Amino acid sequence: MIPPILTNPVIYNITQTTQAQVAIETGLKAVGRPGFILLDNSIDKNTKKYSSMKEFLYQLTCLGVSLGVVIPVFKKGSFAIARKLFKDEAVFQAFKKSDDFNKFRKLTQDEKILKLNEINSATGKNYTFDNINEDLAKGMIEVTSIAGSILGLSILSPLISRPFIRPVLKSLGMSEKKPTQSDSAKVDVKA
Amino acid sequence: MADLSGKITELGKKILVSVGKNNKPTYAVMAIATANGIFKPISSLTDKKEKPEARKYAALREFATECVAVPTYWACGVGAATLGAKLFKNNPEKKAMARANMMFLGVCTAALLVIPAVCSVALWGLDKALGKDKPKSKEPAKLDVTSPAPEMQIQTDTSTKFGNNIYRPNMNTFMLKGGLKI
Repeated sequence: MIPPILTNPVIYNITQTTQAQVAIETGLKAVGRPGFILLDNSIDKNTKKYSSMKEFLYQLTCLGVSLGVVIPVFKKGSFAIARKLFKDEAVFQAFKKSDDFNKFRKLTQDEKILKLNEINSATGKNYTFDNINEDLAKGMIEVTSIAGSILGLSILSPLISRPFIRPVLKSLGMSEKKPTQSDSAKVDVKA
Repeated sequence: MADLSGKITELGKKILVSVGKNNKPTYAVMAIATANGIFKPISSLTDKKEKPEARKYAALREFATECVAVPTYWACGVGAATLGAKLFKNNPEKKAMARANMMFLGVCTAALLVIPAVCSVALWGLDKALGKDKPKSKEPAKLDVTSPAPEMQIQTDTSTKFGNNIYRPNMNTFMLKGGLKI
């Protein structure tokens, strides 16, 4: 028996959106990586706890930075960039913001034609259903989201998390155990 | 020059249309993992709070993790998508959807289980190769005054050999019978 999740349209829509992909993948990393650190028997208990918590907080920072700041900014700016790159494309002239285009994409074909007539009457242009390149606009949104994810996850998160994670771990009563001078020079005087 | 920029724009347009038609989950995760493999080690190397050796080691581990992640994402995603397409080979309507959904599930499995598991083994091997799994020998030795003193050889046989004749002095004369008699 094949599970219905494989042909579920909701899952399909999620798989086609970079923002959702990145959110789910980072969430799974936040569970999987600390989990495997905790399962490692070659590390002592305190180090395991410290490292797994550090990894968990790092992934949470990644999630927050990417979804809260970077992807939304890039998504909004995607159509502004596209208008400069593809000056003749009707889709980027008809829709000023990516959110307006996303609402349009969800409509049925008849509703789309009605919406375009509405835009035509407001702007005095003549946009038709055929000259609106939906795939190009969708691709622009997704590619800028990928670029935003790279900036957020690979460049900004390591810089932001560095001064943030250590104080949080300290406030939770966790610290990286390093051999101290007093430990190494301990004299065992038991007779 | 204008011709070249026109060609680049056309190529860019083709890529965007392709991503717009089918935004495969592997695109985003592989791009992010590649960028992580470049920028995270650089970030670790510039962390001035850590010792230079620790910085280099952290950067190497991060680079190795992403080296494992990129092909694993691709293999899990493409493998799962192929399986999805095989399951619905007689239903072309659902085949594309099953391919995309299975690819996403494959990528999720890679992020949750496969990559951390493979990294655990690969990084253990890396530690072993670098000798990081062994206890540090540079640690100053503890001064342990309870350790036993080396056994000294005490000659208990007080006899002195003169050729074949054995001369045994009578120790009882001094030890047992000696002292002040009351």
